[in-house]
Amino acid sequence: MKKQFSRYFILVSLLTCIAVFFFVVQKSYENLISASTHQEDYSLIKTVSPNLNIQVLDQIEKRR
Amino acid sequence: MKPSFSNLSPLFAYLRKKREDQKFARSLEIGGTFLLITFFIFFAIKPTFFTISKLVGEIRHKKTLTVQLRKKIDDIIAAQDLFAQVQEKYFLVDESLPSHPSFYNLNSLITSAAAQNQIYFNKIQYNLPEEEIFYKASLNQNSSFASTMAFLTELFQSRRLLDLNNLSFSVDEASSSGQQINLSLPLNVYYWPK
Repeated sequence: MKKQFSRYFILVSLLTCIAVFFFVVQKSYENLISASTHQEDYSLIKTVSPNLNIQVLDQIEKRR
Repeated sequence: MKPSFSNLSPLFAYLRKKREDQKFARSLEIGGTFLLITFFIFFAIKPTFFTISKLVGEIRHKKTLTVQLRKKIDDIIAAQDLFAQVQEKYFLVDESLPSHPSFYNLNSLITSAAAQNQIYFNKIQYNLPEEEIFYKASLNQNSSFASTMAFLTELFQSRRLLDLNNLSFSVDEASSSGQQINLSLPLNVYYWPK
């Protein structure tokens, strides 16, 4: 009886330890990643294209 | 006196029990150690790791943001330089696509182009639809085919952005020479409402 109890006790405590370890690792990774995914909806980083189509102005200029 | 096997069996039983007790105590120690490690991970390591990972994530995010904002600032500076170069030609954009309907300018354009080709419009109709970026101008007049074509060429050589959906000519049988045609010209005139 004692032998069986001790075997289960070690097994349960080991599995609990592993589960808590992976929980902490997974949550930490999630925290790490979520900070960089929030930036996608940050309105300030919308790019601005500095290219102007100057040829259109030349075409307009040729007209009267 | 020699000890017999039957006399030793309680001793063996005692030793076996003692060994089982030792094994049980050791397994309790191992299990307890795992539970203590779990407790330690949960209450000491977890908050620290969460804080560190959050801070590292924010630092990475800020670094990326800094790079992107620096690029955006460079783009804006480049756009400002380019705009300064073409600023003197900005009036061309305004002539082509004005920020308001600019009826007077269009009227002058049509009447001067028409007058050059001996066409004189009695009436020019304008229709300004709501929530559109263009308004409609409708022209109807009798003239010769050659004058009409010259007028159209002159009109579409202008800088103003015009769109002609359809064009219809019909022979004006009531004219004395019979060489007059009736021109119907529905124009879409674009502007850039603010």
